[in-house]
Amino acid sequence: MRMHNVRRALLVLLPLLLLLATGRAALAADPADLQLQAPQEATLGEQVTVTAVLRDASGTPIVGAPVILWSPAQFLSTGGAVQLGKVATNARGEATFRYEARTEESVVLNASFSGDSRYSAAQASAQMAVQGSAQLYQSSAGVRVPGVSVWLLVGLLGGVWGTYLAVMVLLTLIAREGAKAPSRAGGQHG
Amino acid sequence: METREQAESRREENLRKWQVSRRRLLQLLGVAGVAAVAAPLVPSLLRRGGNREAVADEGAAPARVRQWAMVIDLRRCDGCQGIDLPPQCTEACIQGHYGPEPMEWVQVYEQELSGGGTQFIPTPCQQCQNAPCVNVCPVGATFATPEGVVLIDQERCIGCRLCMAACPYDRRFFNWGDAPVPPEAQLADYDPEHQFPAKRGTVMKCNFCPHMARSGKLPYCAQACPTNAIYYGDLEEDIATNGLELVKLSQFLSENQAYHLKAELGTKPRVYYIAGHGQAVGRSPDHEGRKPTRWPWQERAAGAQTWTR
Amino acid sequence: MDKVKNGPREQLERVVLGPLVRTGKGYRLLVGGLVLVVLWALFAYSTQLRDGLIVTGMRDRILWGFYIILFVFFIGISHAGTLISAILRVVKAQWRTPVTRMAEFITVVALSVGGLMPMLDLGRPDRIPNLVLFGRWQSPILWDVLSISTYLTGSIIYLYLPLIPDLAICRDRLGNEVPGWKRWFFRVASVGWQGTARQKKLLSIALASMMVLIIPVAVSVHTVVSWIFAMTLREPWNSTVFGAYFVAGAIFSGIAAIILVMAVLRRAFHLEAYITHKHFINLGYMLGGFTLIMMYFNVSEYVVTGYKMAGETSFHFVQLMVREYAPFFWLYTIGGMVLPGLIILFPKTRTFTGVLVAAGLVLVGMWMERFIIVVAGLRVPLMPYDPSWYVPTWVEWSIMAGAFAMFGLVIAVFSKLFPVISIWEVAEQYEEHEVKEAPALGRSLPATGSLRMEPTSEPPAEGADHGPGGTR
Repeated sequence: MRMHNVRRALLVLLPLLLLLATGRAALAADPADLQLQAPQEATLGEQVTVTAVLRDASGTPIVGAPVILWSPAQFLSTGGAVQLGKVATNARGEATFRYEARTEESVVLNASFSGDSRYSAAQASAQMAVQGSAQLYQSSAGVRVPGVSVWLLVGLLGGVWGTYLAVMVLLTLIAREGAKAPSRAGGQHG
Repeated sequence: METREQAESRREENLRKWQVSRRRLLQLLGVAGVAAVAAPLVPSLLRRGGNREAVADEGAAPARVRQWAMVIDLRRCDGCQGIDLPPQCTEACIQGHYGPEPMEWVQVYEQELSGGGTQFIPTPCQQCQNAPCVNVCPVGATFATPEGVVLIDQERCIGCRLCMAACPYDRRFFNWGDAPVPPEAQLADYDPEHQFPAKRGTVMKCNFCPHMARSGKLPYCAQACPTNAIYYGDLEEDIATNGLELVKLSQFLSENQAYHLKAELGTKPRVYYIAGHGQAVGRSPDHEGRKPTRWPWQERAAGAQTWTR
Repeated sequence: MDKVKNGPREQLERVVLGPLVRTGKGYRLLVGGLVLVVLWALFAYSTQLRDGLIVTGMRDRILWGFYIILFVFFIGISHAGTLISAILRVVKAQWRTPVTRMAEFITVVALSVGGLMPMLDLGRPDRIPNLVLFGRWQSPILWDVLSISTYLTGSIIYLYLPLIPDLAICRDRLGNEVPGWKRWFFRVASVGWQGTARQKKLLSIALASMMVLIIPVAVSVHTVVSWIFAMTLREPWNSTVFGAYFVAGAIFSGIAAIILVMAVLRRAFHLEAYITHKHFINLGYMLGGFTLIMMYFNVSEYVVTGYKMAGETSFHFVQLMVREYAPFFWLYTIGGMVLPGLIILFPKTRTFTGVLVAAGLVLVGMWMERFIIVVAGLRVPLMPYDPSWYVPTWVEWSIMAGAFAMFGLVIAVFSKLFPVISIWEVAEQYEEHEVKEAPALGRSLPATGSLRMEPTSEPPAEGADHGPGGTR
């Protein structure tokens, strides 16, 4: 129950906040323009570069502004935004993110700049189709040493038990010899 | 005279026959001995054949498998001092799994910090990927699922406790006697994923609640944490949640310098920790001590025994 | 030649075969007492079956106790037997002949009792078949199952082979003196041994292959037993030296066990003429040698860990050296190694009694060693919790008493079924001795010299008026 509420609250709150920020900035600050460049397609697990470019109204890059990359997601019963990174823009106004697609089918990527004292907030979004369904995470433990397997144990035991068996065969030979020999050999033992 | 000679010869013949049959008997005994001793290896040999088929099957049907993981943010864990209750993760786990006294599958240890004061460490089974317990189990009663969860089949466990000796995190518990569990647990269908009803003479531990996750719920411990310090996630989809927020798991781990308990042992746990002493929820490291854990069904169980760990 | 040969030989047969025919009151009392103790232990085990392992003192933190200690202890004792007899046979030590039979016998008995112990320790003994149904060859427990069953079979064969000529002697000598079933047993078990040249050749081939094979098998067993501990990540057990340490400890305690059992059987069955003080002294030398090896292992283990005092190891080191388990540790090191070593070292104390005392000390010390390894090793906290305690309950004490009683009982019962001294091997030595001595005129060979009758070495009071088994 609580998680559902939280998710709903987040879904309502997030756009509201953005709206509020934009509205306020429109009154007081210069408008900022954010553009998100992302590949249209990617394979599952592929590292792609996503670039957000932040400029002012005149097309001049805004330098050193923090840009957040996020994506809406759903896991178990929790839904909401997953923050994928936070990068400050460089001299060309670019914030570059490395993104690895882990979710199948399509991903919506959002970049947002929350505005500062001079510029208003800005947002951009891009859609990326993700292909493939291969397992990406594989846990590995131990190491396979060639030759070390259950057969080694079988061979070892087989050797020992084979000798036991051979000794048993010797015993039967002794028994046969005893049957052939004249019985009561006059106490010649040892 | 003749009859006596005949009898003599017959007896000798019988003796000879008997010698021969004795030889055969000895040979039979030898073969039986070899077979009897080699018998424990047979399942391993069979499984070797079986494994290959399983691998081939995996190649044919490539479905992605969840890889459950947990992150415990110690910055947010105050050992439930803030609400003045015993650790809620432990108690929720006990109630959810009908955990017998004195088992605390998720135990909140209080550890002294190097510079003074203490921190609380909620410790579930670490779900090691190189699990010492799975390695030493003689009958495969402890096993790792494809989802990376280590489970115990209490219907196969022989109670040798070598897994308990092998676990470096003290996360395994033995049913020394008939554990106190409520009647409803006794009626349930047994499953290694929830482990109730408890079976005497077998080992139990945290099962990481994959059955809960499959039905879209967080594990009991994560649900009950009042400060949302426990994140449960999937390394395959690289996402985790504590019920409040979603995080990109790999990024969350690296940005917060997550660590493993006893990482030097090479057990490769699936449980990660973020260092802290409850500072994010206002706990001072000098505020020591936590409330003792409670087991609710002590009175309801007839003829049950408890013990100390 | 024949007359000269027959004298001591017949006497040997008379003395050694005597217990197979006659049974004294003391023996019956002893067996009765042992049976009572075993029955009591069975009762104790029945309560454990009924209520579960909660009746023991073991708990989650110190999760093994007396049962596993006894497992290691008895498997350790079992080593002496076969290993010593095989090594002595391989190096052709002449003095071994009257000793080997008992050593091999102790191996079989100790191995059977020791192998039983982990089964008593199981929480679900009803699921033992799972070891066959679902066995994993990667598990140290399975290695134990495989190696111990292999070793047990091997040592039974190895006990049986040199027994065949003796069983034939029993078959031929003990006619109507023994009941029918015993006659039947001797006839069947002696597999038609007539002592022909070919039979002797076949037997010596069989014996030679077994004595070479049994040594690596025995070494593997105690190595694998140590791996039950060393294959875990517990700090005090996480040691590469464990295999060798356990093998040395096993032989060490095994020699001590042989000395004590031999002394009892010698007294009970009046074998003073054949098992002389010389044999005890010789075994005492072996014991003394192993005290040095054991001390070396302990120095290697504790000086290296104690010097560094790393993490959990330091807790273990401190609890052994100065805290809770210091009495056990020093009893083991001083009482179980240094003191026996000194007793063997000085000629004044290196007597029959001295060797017996040393052997007793070693056995107690080695039991302590296993206690330290299992209990103190498990006591080291793995997580921030207070170290717990292990207090064995009456059930565990009873089962321990039962295990020792069982050990004695099986020895007592089987010593009535076959000669405890290898008659044919001893007799063979007499013959060799005579052949060698005849031309050399009195040049006594040190090895066989010990085998000569030494009527003066024993007080005449140890005569026939003692009932067999009356000494204990």
